[in-house]
Amino acid sequence: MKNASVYPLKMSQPLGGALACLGINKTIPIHHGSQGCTSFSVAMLTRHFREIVPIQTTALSEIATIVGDDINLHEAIKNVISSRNPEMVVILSTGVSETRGDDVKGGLKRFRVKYKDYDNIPILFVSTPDFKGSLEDGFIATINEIIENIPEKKDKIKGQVNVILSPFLTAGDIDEIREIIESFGLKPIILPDLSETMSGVIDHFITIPEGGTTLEDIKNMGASEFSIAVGFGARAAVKILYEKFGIPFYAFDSLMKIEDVDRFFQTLSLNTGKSIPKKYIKQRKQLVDLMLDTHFYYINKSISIALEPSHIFNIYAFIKDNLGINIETVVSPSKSDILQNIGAEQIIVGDLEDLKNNISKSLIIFSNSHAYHMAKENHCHLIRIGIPVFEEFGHFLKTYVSYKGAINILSQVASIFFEHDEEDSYEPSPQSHQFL
Amino acid sequence: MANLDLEQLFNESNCNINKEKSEAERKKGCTKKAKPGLAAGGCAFDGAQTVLLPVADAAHLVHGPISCSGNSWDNRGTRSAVSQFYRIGFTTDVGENDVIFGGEKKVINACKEIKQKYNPPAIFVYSTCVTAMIGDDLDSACKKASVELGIPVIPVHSPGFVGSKNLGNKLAGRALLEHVIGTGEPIFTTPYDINLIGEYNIAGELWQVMPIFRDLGIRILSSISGDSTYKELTYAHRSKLNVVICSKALVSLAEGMKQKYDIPFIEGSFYGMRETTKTILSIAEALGDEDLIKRAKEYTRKKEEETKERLKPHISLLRGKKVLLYTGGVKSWSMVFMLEELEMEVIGTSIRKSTEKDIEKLRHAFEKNQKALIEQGGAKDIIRIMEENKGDILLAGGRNMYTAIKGRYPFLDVNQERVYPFAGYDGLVEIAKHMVNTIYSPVWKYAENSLFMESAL
Repeated sequence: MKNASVYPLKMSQPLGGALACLGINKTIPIHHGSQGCTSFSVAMLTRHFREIVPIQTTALSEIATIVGDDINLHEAIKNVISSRNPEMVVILSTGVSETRGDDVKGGLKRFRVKYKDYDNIPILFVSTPDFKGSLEDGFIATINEIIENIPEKKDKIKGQVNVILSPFLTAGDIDEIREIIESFGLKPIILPDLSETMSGVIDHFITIPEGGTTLEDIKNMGASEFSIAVGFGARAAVKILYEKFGIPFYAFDSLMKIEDVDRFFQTLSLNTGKSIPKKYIKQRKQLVDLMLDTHFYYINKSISIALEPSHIFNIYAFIKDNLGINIETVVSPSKSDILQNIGAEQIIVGDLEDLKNNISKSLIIFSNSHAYHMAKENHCHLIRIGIPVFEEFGHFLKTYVSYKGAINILSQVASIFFEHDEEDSYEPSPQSHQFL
Repeated sequence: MANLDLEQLFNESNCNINKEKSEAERKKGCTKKAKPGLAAGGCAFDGAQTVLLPVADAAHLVHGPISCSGNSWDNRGTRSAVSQFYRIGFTTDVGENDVIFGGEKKVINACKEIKQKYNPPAIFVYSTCVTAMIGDDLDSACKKASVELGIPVIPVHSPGFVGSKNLGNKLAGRALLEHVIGTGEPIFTTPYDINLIGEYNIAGELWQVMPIFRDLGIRILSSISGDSTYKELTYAHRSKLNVVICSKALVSLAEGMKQKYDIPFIEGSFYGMRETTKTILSIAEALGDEDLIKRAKEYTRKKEEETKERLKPHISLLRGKKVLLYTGGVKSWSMVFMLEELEMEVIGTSIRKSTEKDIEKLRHAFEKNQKALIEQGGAKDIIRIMEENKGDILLAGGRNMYTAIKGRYPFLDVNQERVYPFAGYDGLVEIAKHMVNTIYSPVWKYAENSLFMESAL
């Protein structure tokens, strides 16, 4: 076990929790910690999305940190409600408040007793200490807490489908998923929907997420015909919906691997009795043709991946199972059951230093912007993906799921391989001009 | 936490801000407590890194859980030509077990690993909220590591919850004064050796003013801390003069060096032509060399002439444009003068962190429009003032960039995260070009018409 994490890959649970809330209409996340916890999250997400990122803090200061009472928690909730008019408030703990041993659940009960005016606004608490887990864990815990508390038992709404997302999906992904589901005449409720809040649709000043999944939508999730989980991280939430409301679910750990995308379309087709739209059949043919055209150049190639665990699997399954390309190293910032399903030369729970030391064969790395250090030193190509991506403008609008997403990724991968082999794969022989 | 004598940090009798405060005000210190649910600023740890991270060849080890480093490493605009080493994030990534059993051993072992793998000349170790709360003795851990490894390992007591970024700046200054400055010697000294304090080489601004010093034969002995090496900080005490640049927070360091090493200090700014000239001349005067003073006068006069000539085409495009300045401290007025040099109309400036004297200066400048001094407020007020005054451009920090863009206002980033340098004579020309670029961009035509599709048949 290393004592010093170098070039950290991990980001914190409170950041992941806040990210989940940013895709929900008029929902404000409050970090229960010191203000630095929030300002670092805001700074990072602002640079990533290039949008206004509304996250608040209880701003624990020295005195508050030692005393340990409800004052900051209650003040923060009151101030946020009166200044931003939210429909839902989500309190996310941090290392600071967890180390202090705060009884936030009790604090919220006392808040309800003291402030009756706010009874109609749900206030949830999620335990997300940053000395445990990673961005994905905080995101999942927050979504699960919302799913545990908000959906209501209602009569079935015909054609309504729950779609729960893992943290890695871009606005391009979300729009693609929505379009596919709607093409079968279904009405998806997507949670969370960052494509509405963080992709440039907002054209005025805001202090709270606008657009995205509405509270009403989330309440209605109990009335859906079935649920879809996109990415491994979304599995737990659809199970909760099954246990509480008996809603059947379909889970897609990868929505890029051809077999899984096929199953996605079949699921929609079987549930609606409608055939798969021609447009997608055409895309699938284009993808397979692209694979035929490019498979010559996969020879002797390796790829490494360093991302949040659900994200790793989404890409891995396509690259390894469909393209047959060797995966040299996979680095995940935290443990996850999905890592057991990955076949790579190395699977490391660690940091980007571990990636740096284990990519001697790789020509391509899939990772976030921080991995540019590794790419530079090892002379390999970085395909920027995940969070944060700083330098690739418009990244969040690109698509990485379904046949379309697979085409996008394969196009990048194969072009890098081809260019490499054309330029570097052979040395001119010293004898080659002898007979001229 | 016992090591944090905060009162002492606030006791800066010579600091210009404090001199102008009443006794009671002074005791309250410089940091306003953030309001829960209404806060927007960074923490003390953030501030400590602002000051120390530019020490480019040192390792910066963050002793805390992953929020502190994982969410923030390699996110600063500071540049270095010496080394890119400072851009590597190191953290003890404190976990549940460490919270229960303490993290001192982890600090020592982490330092060993860093030394073994990367061999830096020194390691700065930052304490954070959680590691301060669990009572880790950072001083003792750093001492042990230092003895064992044979390199300086410097404890920086910077738990975020003690206060704002501003306080963190001071905590970093204190770490330098206690553990770094005075531990080394320069190869040689000259009568023209000065230190710059508080210039972090954001976007390369130090490099923008370096040629001025070179031309005048003034040597920057230690840059605290833009584009610096650990070694150059160790001999900062041999300088003849400290020049505190645009950073009220590090007056405490200059004050400390005056007490400890009898080095006088002056305050200055490199924003705008007039301020740059003023700063250069006061450095020359403080060094007291008649010939230097004469040369400095001649040099700055020539530079101003040149600059005015270069500015002409830009001023014709900026003249009379209404600008809102939303930044802090000295910049709130030094940049006002800078904008006036470009013949722009300043419709407001924030005075959140300014002294009475600063405010007086501004009252004078804004005789006709006292509303222009913004006491406090946030993004909402920015939008309101821009609307009421029909502002043409907002100058603020990156955090407010998307406020401006969503409000459909031209914007220029003038704070920490900026990509372009605006210091000295060249910087004035640069900032003029950048304002012209955003104000006259064709994009606004389309941004204002975003309803086009909705109104079409």
